[in-house]
Amino acid sequence: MSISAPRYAAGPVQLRGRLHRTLAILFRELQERAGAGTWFVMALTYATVVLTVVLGALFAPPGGASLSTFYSPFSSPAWPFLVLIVTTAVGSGAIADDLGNRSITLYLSRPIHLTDYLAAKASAVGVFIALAAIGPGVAGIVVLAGLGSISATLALSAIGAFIAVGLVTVVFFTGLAVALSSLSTKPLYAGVGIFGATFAAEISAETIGGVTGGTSIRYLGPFQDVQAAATGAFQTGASGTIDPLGASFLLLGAGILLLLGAWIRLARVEVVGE
Amino acid sequence: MTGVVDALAVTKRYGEVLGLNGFTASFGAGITGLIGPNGAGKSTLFRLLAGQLRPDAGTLSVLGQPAWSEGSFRRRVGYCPEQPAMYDWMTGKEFVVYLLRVDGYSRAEAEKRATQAIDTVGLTDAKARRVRVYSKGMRQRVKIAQGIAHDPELLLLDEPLNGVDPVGRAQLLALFTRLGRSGHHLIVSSHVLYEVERLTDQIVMISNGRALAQGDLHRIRDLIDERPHTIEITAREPRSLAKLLSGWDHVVGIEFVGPDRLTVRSRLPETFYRELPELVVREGAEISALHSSDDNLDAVFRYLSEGGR
Repeated sequence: MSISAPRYAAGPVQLRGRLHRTLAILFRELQERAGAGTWFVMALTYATVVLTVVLGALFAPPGGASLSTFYSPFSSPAWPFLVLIVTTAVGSGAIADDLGNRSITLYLSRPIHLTDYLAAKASAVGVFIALAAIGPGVAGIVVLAGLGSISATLALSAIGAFIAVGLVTVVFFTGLAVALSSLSTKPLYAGVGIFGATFAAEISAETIGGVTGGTSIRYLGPFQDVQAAATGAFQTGASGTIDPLGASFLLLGAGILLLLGAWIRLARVEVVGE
Repeated sequence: MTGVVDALAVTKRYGEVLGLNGFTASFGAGITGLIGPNGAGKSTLFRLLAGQLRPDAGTLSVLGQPAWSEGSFRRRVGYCPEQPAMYDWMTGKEFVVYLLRVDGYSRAEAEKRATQAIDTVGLTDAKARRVRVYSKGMRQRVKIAQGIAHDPELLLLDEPLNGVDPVGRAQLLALFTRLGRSGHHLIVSSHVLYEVERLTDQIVMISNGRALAQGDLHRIRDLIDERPHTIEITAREPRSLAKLLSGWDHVVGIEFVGPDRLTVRSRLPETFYRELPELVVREGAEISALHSSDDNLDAVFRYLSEGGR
């Protein structure tokens, strides 16, 4: 190996702005998270949801498919469970990896705004969750529309409903993943936290709600909130125990609060030596 | 203080442990060596300078800006941390390109600068390999490359020669010297004293979180001139020589350390070195070797860190 003096080009270089730098972090994060495990869970999610959507519509009762037909993926906790797995796979290491391998030091020593760093990390996690939470439903509708099984109007309505439910799901699970990932230097712990927090809330809501018969406590369960949001978006007409609009706002609010919590946490991050 | 880096009574605690304890020093232009044993507080100071830690007390400014702040002044600072702090799945060049992109450089400019920086640290042949297969020395070089790629005004190098092979050490020392001569400011920490001694005379000595001394190495030596200097002499007849030397006022101790060797402790080394040749000529004493263990940085540091005992 040889070594030489630096030969940098003279003259000022026009540096790009915050968006450019945020996108640089985002694309690197997407690259890192796009592992085989992520794609495996993603493929499983697509197969499950697309099949459910397509078969549900093809075997719809006499009178044909309606918007409520496409509620089928939400009728069981399987879909939010798959989204939770994707969330854990892509979100647990989002910040925990940087804290664990100390690459956070390279960000902290650069002119990076904390907000930009967090926005890039959350966006990368959000993109994957959106692929799992919105993509399969939309793909199923596209398949049905391609087969000529549903009208264009119904297809557009269904796509809109999948996007609406998917977005509140994305905001909540992104907030949860980023917040818990910022609390640990080990992605495994963050992953256990994401799973544990979700199931603790879900089981508590289900158990206490079942015992007391109270409806308010059911808002605590994220899966139940997603299902409630879906009943509203797909106009199932089912009078559930949870208000769809209330559940949607709760998911959005919780997701935003969790992101804010991650911001506050990272603003206090100090890199302490070994 | 108006240095490149000014620290005034900076204290940093890790719970019950004091990382820095009222550290006060000013780092001027050019290359400054930060010297201290492991656990002295060198890395804590670097993390404070790099904005990774918030001081509990005192003020710390880097290029005139508070160290704990987000700001564009960080573009003017390059940092090579002691820890690995890398994405192992990237190649060395990808890693440097990525950090330049985070700095705001366009892809083309980042590629160009990364290539230059990788060449500069001597990693050209390995730039396409993933960091996970790099040796410790190669990782050090990549960290240095990302630190210099944006041509910073101030370069913070925390133990940059750790794990680097002897040839690499010489190359990197030469590189740091060239960077210093080309107008960059470098703060280089090390616990291997001779490395810093080869780089610069400007040093800050740190121990137990406090600055023991700072300035020109020779001025620091002046600070300790009241302390007896130890000179080892190899002579044909050490006992006769000892008898002659014991008559000198400034000689405060003589010890025989071998059949032909003795150590002499003098409070006035310059006087000692001036008078010794005269004595040799006058008395015909045969001296075959002289060695002053105080003439290296290690001795100065040991003396200062022991509180001048």
